[in-house]
Amino acid sequence: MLFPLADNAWILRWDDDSQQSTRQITALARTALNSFAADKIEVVPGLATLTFIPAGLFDEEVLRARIERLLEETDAVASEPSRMIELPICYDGECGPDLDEVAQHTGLSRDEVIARHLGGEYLVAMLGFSPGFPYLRGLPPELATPRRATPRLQIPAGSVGIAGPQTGIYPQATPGGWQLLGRTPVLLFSLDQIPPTLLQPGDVVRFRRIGAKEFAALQDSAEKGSGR
Amino acid sequence: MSIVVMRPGLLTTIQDRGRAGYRQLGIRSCGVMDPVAARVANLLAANSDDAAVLEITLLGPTLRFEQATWIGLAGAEFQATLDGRLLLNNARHWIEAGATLELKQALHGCRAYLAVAGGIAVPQILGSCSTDLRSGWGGFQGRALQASDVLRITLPSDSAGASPSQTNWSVELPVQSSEREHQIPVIAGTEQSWFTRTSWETLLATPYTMTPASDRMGYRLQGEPLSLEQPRELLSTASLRGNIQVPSNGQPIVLMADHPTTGGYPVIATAATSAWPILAQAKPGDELRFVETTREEARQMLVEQEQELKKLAHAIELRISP
Repeated sequence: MLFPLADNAWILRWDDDSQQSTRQITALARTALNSFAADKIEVVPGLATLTFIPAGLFDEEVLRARIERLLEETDAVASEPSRMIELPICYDGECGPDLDEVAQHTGLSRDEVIARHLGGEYLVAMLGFSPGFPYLRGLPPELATPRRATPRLQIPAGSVGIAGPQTGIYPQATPGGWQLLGRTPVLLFSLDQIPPTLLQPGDVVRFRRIGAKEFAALQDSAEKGSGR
Repeated sequence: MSIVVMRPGLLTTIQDRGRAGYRQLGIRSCGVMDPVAARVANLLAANSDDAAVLEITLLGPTLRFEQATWIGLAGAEFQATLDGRLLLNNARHWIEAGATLELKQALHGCRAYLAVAGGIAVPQILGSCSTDLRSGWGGFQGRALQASDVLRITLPSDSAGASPSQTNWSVELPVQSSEREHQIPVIAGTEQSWFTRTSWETLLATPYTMTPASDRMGYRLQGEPLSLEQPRELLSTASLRGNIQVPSNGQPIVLMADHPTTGGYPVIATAATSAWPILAQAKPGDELRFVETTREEARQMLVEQEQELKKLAHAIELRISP
């Protein structure tokens, strides 16, 4: 359903944040990206919304018609295969400081938590909170764990975290309260790349387990590759 | 051609019209808080609208110009002096090489804009010169100016070599901000119906004070608390500048230029786009009064503001073209 938002924007709303609505939202966002950007209209996916934000005043009827046309045209595109991205992840030692807490909360062993996490397939629903932070769908429900009572002041870049049923990856070192399961050495955000984020809404992420040694080697080459 | 920062002022940053096109990746727009004053500053410096300017906050910087140039100065009144001589605000001035420009405390309003003919040269990050203070990129090394920073200017002014006489004219901004109390037209927000009927009436009937914990990300207000009919969770969704969001303590926050791209607090109302300049000139301790308006009326206000700016642009062009 399409609604006007504030004095200049439009918003498409879904009743829930199911897997299916996420697929629709991200497919629409992908289709809209180039054509709407040409007219300086930003198209921003949320968990159950897609918001259209023009840079200046935009003709009401023209924009409404364009969004409605996008909805019609995107039905076909929605079945297009998503991009599959495999991220190496290290669960060992400092990389997964909250594995024990998650194991304790879920009643699973450390190894079971890791196995179930590796078995998941994660859909990038949206990016937000901080630059390049992906909200991932598809956490196995039995792994859901409340956020930490005391947030950490510094979470290393690449940390994979859980907050309730949600999961995400910290692209930069920031403060945060999510439970940290593991860490990927892959650079998720770099201003030297266009687009600056590795993950885009609609991508599907799978994790591949690596050990501490491989983590260090990959992290080393990622840092060199970024030119920093 | 360069400008040396002698004293940086409280919060002086390089901004342009903002970083557009990357919100879907979580990248903030940032950009000038008062788009009208910034645009007038650029008009006065004979720059294009998208030239990078200095945004000056509450306490101004002291700057030494290494080369002669024209500047445009607009927005809050900062008692600017050039080598000790008081300068008109909302005006264009010729700066001689070696001269020192000093901006003191804001007398009226909160933010002024300094445009330099040709624009301030900093590398564009994702298509914009705006400083993203939170992310630490854009503008001058991703931060506010500090003493002994050296700013480069894009082009030497085409009037360089000439010695133009002093300017004795100024312009009036199309948006007049008042003192201490500001009227902000607002449109009902996406979650307005989640709030109690009383909360909506309270928002429109009682003043909200801007607290010192307000910054370029958002203004934290204090006043009669606002409450939801029943506790409800909002799924993360795109945030808009001007959104008045209400966390669980009931005290509203108005999102400003550096707001995160998405958020999860219910939005009771959104300030009209035409009110961005008024909000930008409000300072801690000031009172905000929210007045209900419709989408159509808010759009009309923006159209009228744009018409006023076009008239002003034309008038300035006539005065400065030889």
